[in-house]
Amino acid sequence: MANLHGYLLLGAMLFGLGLVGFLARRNLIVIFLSAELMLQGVVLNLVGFGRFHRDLDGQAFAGFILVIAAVEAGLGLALAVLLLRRKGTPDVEAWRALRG
Amino acid sequence: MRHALRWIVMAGVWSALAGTAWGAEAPVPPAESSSTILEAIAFYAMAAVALLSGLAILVSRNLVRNVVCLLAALGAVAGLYFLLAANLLGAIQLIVYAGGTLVLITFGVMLTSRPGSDRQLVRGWERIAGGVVCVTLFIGLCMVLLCTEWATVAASAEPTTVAAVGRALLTDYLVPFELASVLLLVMLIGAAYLVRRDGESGAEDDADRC
Amino acid sequence: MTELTTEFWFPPAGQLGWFAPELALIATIVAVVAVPIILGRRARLSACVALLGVVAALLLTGDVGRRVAEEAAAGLAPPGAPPMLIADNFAVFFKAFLLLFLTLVTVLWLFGLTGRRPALARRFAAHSVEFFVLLLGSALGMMVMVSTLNLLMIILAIELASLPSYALAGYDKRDPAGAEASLKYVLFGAVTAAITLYGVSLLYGAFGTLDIPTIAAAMAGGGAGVGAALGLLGLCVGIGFKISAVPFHFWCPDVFEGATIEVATWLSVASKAAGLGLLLRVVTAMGSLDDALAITVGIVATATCTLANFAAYRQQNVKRILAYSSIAHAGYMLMAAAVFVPAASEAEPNLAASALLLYLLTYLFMNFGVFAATACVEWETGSSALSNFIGLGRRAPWLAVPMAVCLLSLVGLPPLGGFLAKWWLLVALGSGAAEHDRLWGLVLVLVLNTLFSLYYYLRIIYMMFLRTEWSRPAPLAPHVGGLVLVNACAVVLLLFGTLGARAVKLLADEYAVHLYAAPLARAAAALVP
Repeated sequence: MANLHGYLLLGAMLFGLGLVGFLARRNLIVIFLSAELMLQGVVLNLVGFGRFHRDLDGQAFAGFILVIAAVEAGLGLALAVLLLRRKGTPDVEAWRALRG
Repeated sequence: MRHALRWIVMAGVWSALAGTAWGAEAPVPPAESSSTILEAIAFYAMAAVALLSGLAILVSRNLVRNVVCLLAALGAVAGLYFLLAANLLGAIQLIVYAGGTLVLITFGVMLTSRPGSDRQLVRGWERIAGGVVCVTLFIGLCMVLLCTEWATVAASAEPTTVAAVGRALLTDYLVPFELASVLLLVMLIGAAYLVRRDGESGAEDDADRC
Repeated sequence: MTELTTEFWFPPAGQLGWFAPELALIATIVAVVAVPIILGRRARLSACVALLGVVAALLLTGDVGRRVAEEAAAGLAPPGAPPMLIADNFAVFFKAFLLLFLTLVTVLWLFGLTGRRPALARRFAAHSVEFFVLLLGSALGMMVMVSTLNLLMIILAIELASLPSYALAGYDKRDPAGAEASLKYVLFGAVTAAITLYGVSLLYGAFGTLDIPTIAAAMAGGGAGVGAALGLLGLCVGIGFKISAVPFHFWCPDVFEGATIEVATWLSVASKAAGLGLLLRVVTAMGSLDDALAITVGIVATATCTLANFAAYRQQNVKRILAYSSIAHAGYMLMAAAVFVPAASEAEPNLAASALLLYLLTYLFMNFGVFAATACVEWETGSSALSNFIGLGRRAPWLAVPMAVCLLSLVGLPPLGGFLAKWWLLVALGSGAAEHDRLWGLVLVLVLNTLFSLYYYLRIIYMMFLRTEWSRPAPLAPHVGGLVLVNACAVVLLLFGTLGARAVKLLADEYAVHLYAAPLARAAAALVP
């Protein structure tokens, strides 16, 4: 089943696992790991489609997504370190002063 | 902790080296071979590794284990890129992602890990209800993916994708390429600003902690 | 391998000239980083360099606008491919709009250096370079957002607009509220970005291209499957996040409350304007989808303004009230998009587009006025809690009166610009309702919501003028520059509503005409030498 549908299903599963992890975990680092997993699902989709469309758009787009993912990871880590310095925990639930 | 770090850095370096070697040397699989047994086995093996690692990230409470699992998942997905004849992308994934970003994340883990900070957000009936909703949505998505008629093109002779993608990046995709460079510059400065401890107020920063 | 060097494409200067404002902004980013290396790190210096660059970009936009008026439209595209960037009337309007607002925000930041208490001001001054690099970066992203129809460019532009905003929200690192705002913004942004990307990957899969007009043509030809619809939905999630339309608005109040006032001001207008510009572009290109898309946009608009207006009732912080107010106004402007969809193909000045542009222009001034007034209070008292506004009418009449004018304009009361904006929106909705009865629902929603919103805007005015405290609060000495800005905004709003009403309408009409009369086919034709 190594055809297009196989890659699409795998991409959807990776995306779904990442999404669930993103929503269910409270550790900031794990949340960003899950975001990376989601983006891997997207990239797999794009490369799969690109292969079966026989053009380069998919691969080029995927390259740009890797850039975006790296930037996001960098920002997320910077933020994690900043937050940790303030409250001493990477737990996102510790931050709930703003509400109303 | 230090051993784990060293181990992961080594793993990143080695997988990067192996990936570049493979990416440069790997023959492009002929397009008609998409149903060969070998390719199917490779696909299933790497898909299984990716999925199991993804699942492990979701359930494991150990941060270092999470990162290593992500490394495995990234490696497996990179293998799938090679399988899809996206050699350049596979190599980039191994070098930049597994070798670079993941090491960065490892540093983040080492800097931020504290005991007792990795509980699950949802509990009890919320978990069951959330699970039901997720599974339903996921099945719906899979139905859509399987039922849609994706516009696929008949197989033909494949160009060497590394050169072709490289050329595309500097012709068709020159504008987004430059825009991405601006994004990287801006966010480099932004992220550096966020983590930097201000010289004069470093002591106060520590005092501010709750 | 040898052909690599021969096929390198460098955009010709003629094509690049259309995008001089963007290039000027990039040059400004570099200058903001480079100048302090030579002349030393001084806050005013960075602000002045940024201001200079932004004004230069604004002037260049005027020049491009003149050329666009003569030659219709142009694009930046590799040979034989659809354009990556588009320069047309629509893009010129939004670029000028964003740059004008960027100028105002920069001036506000400059005033904040002297307006704030010294200790706080020093902290802000120390990181001026980072602030302006991030601010200019997000401005560049928003400018690209409104001038492209390529999915890859859209994604990159949304990211370039969002990622610096996440860092800006946490700009004051010593303030825990800022850190929390940044955290919530980045978490919400990361998940919407991933969903958007997934949707875009499905769109690419369904049509094999990243060019939206090509996709729209394929969709019109009956190629729209469930997968493509899902992809389009994903793209709309990303745009909705930028506009803060209702299911994706949760970040907005928290970020506005936690971020510094200058950043909140910037996000309140620029992020929504760029999102609306992108939405209108996509909707124009997808004109064939009419009904389903129009109804969805209408429902989202209704939910957005209604929920925001009700949520604003129980807020105790002026920045939070203004956040909900800005969400509600985003809902009103989305209504224009909902009318606009069915009439996409018409060549004459589009009532809805003109109404939207006019609304945005007025919204810029009324929102900036209120935020600048709040900034003056926050600089003096240290917080923007509603209780700090008690008795402001006596403590600082030159601040309270223009702020009240801006608030009344946000409500939409007659002699002010806000009334005119709502009036033309109603006219557009009414004329659309002549064809589609369902649009009467939106007319009703708009009128009812204006009534609902009266309460919380008047609550601030009541606090400022009528509420008497038993302990008499000290008089306030607001920053002079801030006072000038707020009063100028109030005067502009008065002009918009009275003498200048006709001129503003004509301006909006002018930019609404060429927008659809110059479709992308012509833009594509213009680039073939």
